[in-house]
Amino acid sequence: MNPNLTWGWAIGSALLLFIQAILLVVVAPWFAGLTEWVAARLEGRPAFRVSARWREIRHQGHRPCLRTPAGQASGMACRGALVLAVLACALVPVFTVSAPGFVAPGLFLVCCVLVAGMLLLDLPQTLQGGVAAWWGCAHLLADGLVLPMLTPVALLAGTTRSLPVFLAGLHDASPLLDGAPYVLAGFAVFMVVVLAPWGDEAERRIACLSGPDRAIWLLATDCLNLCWVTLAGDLAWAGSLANPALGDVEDWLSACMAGAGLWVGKVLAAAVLLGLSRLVVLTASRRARVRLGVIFLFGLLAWQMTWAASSQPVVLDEGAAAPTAEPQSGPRQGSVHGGLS
Amino acid sequence: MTLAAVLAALLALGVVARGMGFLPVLGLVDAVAMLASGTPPLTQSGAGVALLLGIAPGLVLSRYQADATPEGQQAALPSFLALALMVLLLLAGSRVQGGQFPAGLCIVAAGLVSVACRRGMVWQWAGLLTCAQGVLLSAVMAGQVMAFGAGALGGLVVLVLGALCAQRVLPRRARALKGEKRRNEV
Repeated sequence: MNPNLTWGWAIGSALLLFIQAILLVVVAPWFAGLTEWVAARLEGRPAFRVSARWREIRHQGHRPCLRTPAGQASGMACRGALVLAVLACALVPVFTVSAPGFVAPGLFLVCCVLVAGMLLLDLPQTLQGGVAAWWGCAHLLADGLVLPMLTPVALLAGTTRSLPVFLAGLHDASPLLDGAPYVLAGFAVFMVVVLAPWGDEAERRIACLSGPDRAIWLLATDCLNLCWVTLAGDLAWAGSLANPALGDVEDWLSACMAGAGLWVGKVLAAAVLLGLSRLVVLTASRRARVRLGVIFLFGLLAWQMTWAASSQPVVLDEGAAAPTAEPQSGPRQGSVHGGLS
Repeated sequence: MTLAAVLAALLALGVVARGMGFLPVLGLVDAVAMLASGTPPLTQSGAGVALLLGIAPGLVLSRYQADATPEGQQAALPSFLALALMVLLLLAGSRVQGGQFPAGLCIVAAGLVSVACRRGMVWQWAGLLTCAQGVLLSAVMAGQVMAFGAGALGGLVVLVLGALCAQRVLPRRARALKGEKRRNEV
């Protein structure tokens, strides 16, 4: 722990992390219900209520559990996925970043947790046997490859910095001007959710689950999806996050309030975008390929743009330090370099 | 580097992937990107030409039936090719450009891919117009009056020739024909 971090700030950060995690877990089923509602409205289907998803989870939780011999492992996988999903909810900043010096993971580690949760959610279908197992393996492959495809985004965030430090560095970058590459990076992360299996395909994935297992699976999926969306929103516009380094406690708490309001706005916009994306019709294998390709290329474009903006004098003999190490000072350095050259 | 410039490059990808429908939006965003960067007299005229190049083809084509040339098997490939070309372009040019996002160059690359990989006449026309918009954008960003003039002239020539070509090749729409008959009867 950093010596600059006082006990008060550490306890406040821990408390707000806890509140953020609870908020994400509670809101996640509502977000899924809202997305479904928007999609149904746009397609002209009869729409369920926004609370339908939450009610289904509660209803499934009370039903008896019928387990095949392979069901034991499926139940374990679901529970593991829920643990990872709640952990991810705690790791993703919602309306505030933690105080400087507070222990926090990097972006790559957060992505690892999210992808591991997605892999565990694919396991029940794989354990079913028969044709379902083939599809389950395909989903495992498609979700597992998301992590290597996110490498450019992780490089953009820097390998040595934690996620809150990275996001706090982006606080002043306007998404319309010098923060534009990060909007692209956020878009790349958002595509993980946009082109994920949904509807009938998602129903087939949980065909073998019943009772509490199914409820846990649904809740874990919703949590993971909302985590991806929140992470994408943070990357795209980090200025909405409160930063404890910028003032005293009162400033921080009022900024937290404003950040929570802006987060709700971001989530609503994401729900509308997700509803719109449901209108795109692609076959399962093609959608998986398009998802991987889009994530990789947009991440690469974003990383490349920040790299170009933070161009430093090339030092060949000293094994030039990674230029991604400080993209937040990019535009100034870029202008200096442009002036020099 | 503004978000409008980045969005313009992405909309050029949309032209490669989906065709003429993205061209008006591309023209609009291109105009915004020009207005956001550059010096006033050039940016305003550039924005005007970009809007004209974006909106006029749609108006012309609304009188004709859709171009029904079948595309090949791998219809999604050209857009990925264009995106990969953009990334390569940025990788190659990042050290030379001095911290600038070469949005115009990326749009030109997307337009060229559209011309090279698509079979429909209208699609290729959209690609050529995209190229012209890219040239205009880079000329305005760099403040080059000569390049701007050449780009605008080329774009207008492509616009007029494409409209003439569409008139020769594409069948008229039923509603347009009916209106013409009524006019002849009167």
